[in-house]
Amino acid sequence: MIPLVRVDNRLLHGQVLEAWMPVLKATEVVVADDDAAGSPLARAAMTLCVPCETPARILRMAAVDFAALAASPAVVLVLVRDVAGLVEATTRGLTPARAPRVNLGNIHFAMGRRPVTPSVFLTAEELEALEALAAAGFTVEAQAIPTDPPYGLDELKRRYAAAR
Amino acid sequence: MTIRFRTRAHVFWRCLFLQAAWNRRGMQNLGFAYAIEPALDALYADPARREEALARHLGFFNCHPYMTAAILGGAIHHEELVAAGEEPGAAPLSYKATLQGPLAAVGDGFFWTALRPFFGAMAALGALVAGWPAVVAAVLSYNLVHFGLRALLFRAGYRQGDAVVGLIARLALPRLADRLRAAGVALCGAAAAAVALRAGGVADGSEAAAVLVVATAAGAGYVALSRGAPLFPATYLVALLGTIVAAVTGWDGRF
Amino acid sequence: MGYLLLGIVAGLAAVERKGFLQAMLSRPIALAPLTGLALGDLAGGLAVAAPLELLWLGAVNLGAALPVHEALGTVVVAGGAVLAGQALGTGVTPATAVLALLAGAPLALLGRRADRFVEVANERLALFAEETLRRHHPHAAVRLNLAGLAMPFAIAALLAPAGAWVAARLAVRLLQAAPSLDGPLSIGWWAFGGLACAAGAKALRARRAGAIFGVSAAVALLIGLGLRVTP
Repeated sequence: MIPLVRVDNRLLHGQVLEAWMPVLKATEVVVADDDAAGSPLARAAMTLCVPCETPARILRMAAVDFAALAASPAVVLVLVRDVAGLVEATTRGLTPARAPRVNLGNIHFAMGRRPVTPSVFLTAEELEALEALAAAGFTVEAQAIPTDPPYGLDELKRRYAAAR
Repeated sequence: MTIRFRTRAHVFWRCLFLQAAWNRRGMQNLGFAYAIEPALDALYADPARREEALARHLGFFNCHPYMTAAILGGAIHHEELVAAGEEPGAAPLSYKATLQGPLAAVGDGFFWTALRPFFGAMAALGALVAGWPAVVAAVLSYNLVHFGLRALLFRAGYRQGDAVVGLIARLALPRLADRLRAAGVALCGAAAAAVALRAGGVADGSEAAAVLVVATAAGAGYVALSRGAPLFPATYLVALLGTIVAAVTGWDGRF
Repeated sequence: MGYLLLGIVAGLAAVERKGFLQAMLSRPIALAPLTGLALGDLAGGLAVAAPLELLWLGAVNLGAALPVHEALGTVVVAGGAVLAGQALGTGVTPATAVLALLAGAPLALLGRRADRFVEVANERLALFAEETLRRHHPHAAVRLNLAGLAMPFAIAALLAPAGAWVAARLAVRLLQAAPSLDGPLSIGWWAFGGLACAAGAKALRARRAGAIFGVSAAVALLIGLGLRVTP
């Protein structure tokens, strides 16, 4: 099963390993990202921080079989780098039935982005894309770590409008 | 073009100020730019190129402050290649972007949640049974490891660039962290015993009772905390309950 | 004079804790004795150091998540206990320590709020640095980094003496009004010490931590009782 798909610019890091994995009781991590999969440095670096007993796979988006992950008995946390990666995943077999929960973890600031939570900065296009995903049946929430309060999409829209 | 040792030492010193202006937007961006500036000054004689280089290092950055030494060393390694025209200006940035997340996880998992609490527990136990010299010894030992690794990582990043990842992998920090955490828990247990003995040693004629109070607080406290009880209310509850129980039974726990 | 030194110690600790160095000097185990030393009572500061260190063993700065301000809390609790001990002429006792703890610990929470405020203020500092760089003053731009140290220093330097004063006054008033509470409050302190050890064991998040904690405590207790060592 896939209890959570997380959008995180940093992909695999401390918040994911130390905070989310235990809470979700996840047994495996799949990083779905073409850049990371194509970079030996990124692959080497990412496997550094994973405890030996946790299998972590770093795959190109095209190589991820969401149907198989959803059907497997393993509890798999899927990581994508950004909202664009999330949208791409939905064109490659990610459906609400296979993975109902989408989590926005860290999306860093860049020009043209507005803060909607302390760790998530969105563009108008991304907000639209997330609305479309919600309409398709995904539960979209922004939450950096499990002990933070989760913010639903309506709240994110309100905050986006209020931010400069 | 390579950078002199003096300049690298200057960068290392400035790296100690990495989080001085930590902010939500760029996180350690200003600190990183501040740290790497002496190296960029040495590499780029042309002010325009120097500013361009500095501007690229003002972008988002966040990593563990100790592990950042490796990234800073590697960034200088790549900046030397950029200055020599052997790499594009994006190379140091992609190095930083690739390593910051994973090395932050390694650093948080080793230094912040294993090594430092281990030495903290050791120093606490030392304070209870041997007084301040034990505290000094524990803090010094921690910093021997801390500064040793920080300097080693900076040097290795500078010398080896991408290959620093292999060195970090060989250090096997996550495995070491597991052992340190288990040892740290054992030290906490010993500290609980030391607190109980101290309480018992000073209580007039109610030694067993004082030991029982401490043991109960430690045992029940552990169970409650691991079931998610919040720390602050638990602190008040335990201190007040201890006081009330003692007031009712007439126990006395003065030094 | 004591309050001035207390403010300086707290300010420096707040800086060492995040902005500069991070060499464990602002952890309670080192900071509480240093606070005691600043007020002329090293032993008094040391007496509260171990439980505070273990209580806040899990107070670490992971990624962007902020922990409680254990350094500010430590200066207030240790400072409050030492000042109360001096005012009463007893030195730091378990009773003054527990009263200083109960009165002073909330400052650790207040300190976290202040940290959030500092992060927002630093955002402006970073923007100003970008602006300064655009105006071709690279040295001035990156030097702004050091300006970020001022606010954490100032906040801790102001809050710590005020907090310690309040904590000490509360402890002194209460113990003067009800001297008979001295004994029971002491047991309250030791009970807190037990909880603090549990908090430390829990914060390490080791596998089978509960078993290790229990066995280690039992073995150490038996050894200690066997040797009749009552340190």
